[in-house]
Amino acid sequence: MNTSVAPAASMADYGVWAAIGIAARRDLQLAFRSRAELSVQLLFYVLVVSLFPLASSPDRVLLATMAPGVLWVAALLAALLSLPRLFASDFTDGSLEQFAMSPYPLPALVSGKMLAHWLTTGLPMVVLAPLLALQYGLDAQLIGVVTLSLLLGTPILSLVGGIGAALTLGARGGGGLLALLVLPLFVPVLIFGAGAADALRAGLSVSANFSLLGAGLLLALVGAPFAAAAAVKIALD
Amino acid sequence: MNLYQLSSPATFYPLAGRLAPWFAGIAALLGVAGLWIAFALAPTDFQQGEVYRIIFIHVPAAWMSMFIYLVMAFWSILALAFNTRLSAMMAQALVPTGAVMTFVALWTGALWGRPTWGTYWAWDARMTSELILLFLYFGVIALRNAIDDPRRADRACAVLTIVGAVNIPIIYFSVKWWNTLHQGASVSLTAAPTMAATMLTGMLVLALAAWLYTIAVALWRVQAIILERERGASWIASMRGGRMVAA
Amino acid sequence: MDRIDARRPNGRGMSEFLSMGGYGMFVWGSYGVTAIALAIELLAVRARRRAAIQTSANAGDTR
Repeated sequence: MNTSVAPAASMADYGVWAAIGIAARRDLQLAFRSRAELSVQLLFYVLVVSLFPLASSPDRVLLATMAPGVLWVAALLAALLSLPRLFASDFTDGSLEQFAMSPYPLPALVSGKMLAHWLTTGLPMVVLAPLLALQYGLDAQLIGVVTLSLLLGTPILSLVGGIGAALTLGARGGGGLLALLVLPLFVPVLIFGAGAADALRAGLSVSANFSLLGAGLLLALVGAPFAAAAAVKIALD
Repeated sequence: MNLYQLSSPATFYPLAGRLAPWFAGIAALLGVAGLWIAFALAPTDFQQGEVYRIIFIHVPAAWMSMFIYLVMAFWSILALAFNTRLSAMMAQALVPTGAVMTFVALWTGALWGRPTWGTYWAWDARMTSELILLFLYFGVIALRNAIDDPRRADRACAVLTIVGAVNIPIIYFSVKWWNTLHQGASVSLTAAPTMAATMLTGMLVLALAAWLYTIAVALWRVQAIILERERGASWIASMRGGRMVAA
Repeated sequence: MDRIDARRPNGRGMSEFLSMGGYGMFVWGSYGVTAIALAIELLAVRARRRAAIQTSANAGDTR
């Protein structure tokens, strides 16, 4: 599927926001055409979350304790499943090369792709999380905290995971290699994200967790597109 | 010989060969001295008995595991900024030693933890972060092996190393946070016993020995890497019969 | 102040040294594995270096 980046009316239009918009819109259009694939990924998330109780025990207290961690780990796994696709098809059909050569700043184009990735994989998980949390018997306040933590955390997964996706372009080992590279980097997100619910349960304030998640998101927003763009250029050489 | 000339593998190769044995020799001497301090000079700790002597390996190894990664990040930045092959080769040469140091730190930490705190593994901040550091090293090794073109691998590993280096303090901080949440009052399980001067000296001596060992091994390894990657270069053929000794 | 002195003539020093107050397995397990790990690394580097030199020497021969 070779949809190239359309030229703008004047040089002033090759700005950052235009780039993000163009790349995101393009990826969303492509994603819409393969909605079946996206539903499969979402189903994977639901399946993983639903399997954990079967593997342990239906004890209500145990389930409630596990719930934030399970929802978060499942989100991580689902993200890992979808990340290789972030750049791979564009890489093989030559669109990525056109991106790199276009007048739009590559980091901006890359962040547009990451935005589309989050909208199609992360956001659906955030929306489903409250329903799945009901399976684990969480009360309303905890459900709210878990959902909010996923809302802040899943974009970080798309951003930082995108760096890994770019680094593994054209490398052997595919998804496994990507997971190995990116999971250590995900650990702080997992800790602060899943930890928010634990903090609430312990009677502590969750604001620290959310502040740290927010700070992480800002750092990722600023840094990840540049690192991923550098990795893309390396892959294209 | 100025610094720019030194960045050519051809120039660096013989220099590395001359320097490495010295580093290795001094490392060995310091190692013996450190072991002497560790076993003959350092007194028995009244809290932990003899088993505390493990820290003479555990702490230097942990320091080195972190320090080597930072040096790798330094060479990676140089490699990306100046596009020099040798900087990337130096980073490549350090990775295995860094992984070994991390493994040693984890292993000795577990063996120290069992008799002192009752468990081989505890999810405390330092040990958990050390484990993640090991995975970061494995990641760099895996990425290097997965990319066929050496120059592409150089740059990709450089980016990965730098991203990892930025993350290490974040990872440590997050695990420490997680730990305090789940343990209440923060107890650092890997706190060393109260540091007598002898103990500190022993650790510093062995840390220095580890550092010089790392340099020696890295110099030898980079020689192998240079030959592997510069195959066919004329300067290698001209060295044959001269200074290329398969010692 | 109790120091391990392996030079004590009655041999009790050596056995104390080896047993490390009962923690011998942990102490020597640590030092031993470390020594093995370093030895393996040194041998591996030496082998890699020699192989590289050998291959380069052979390649030079065909020039």
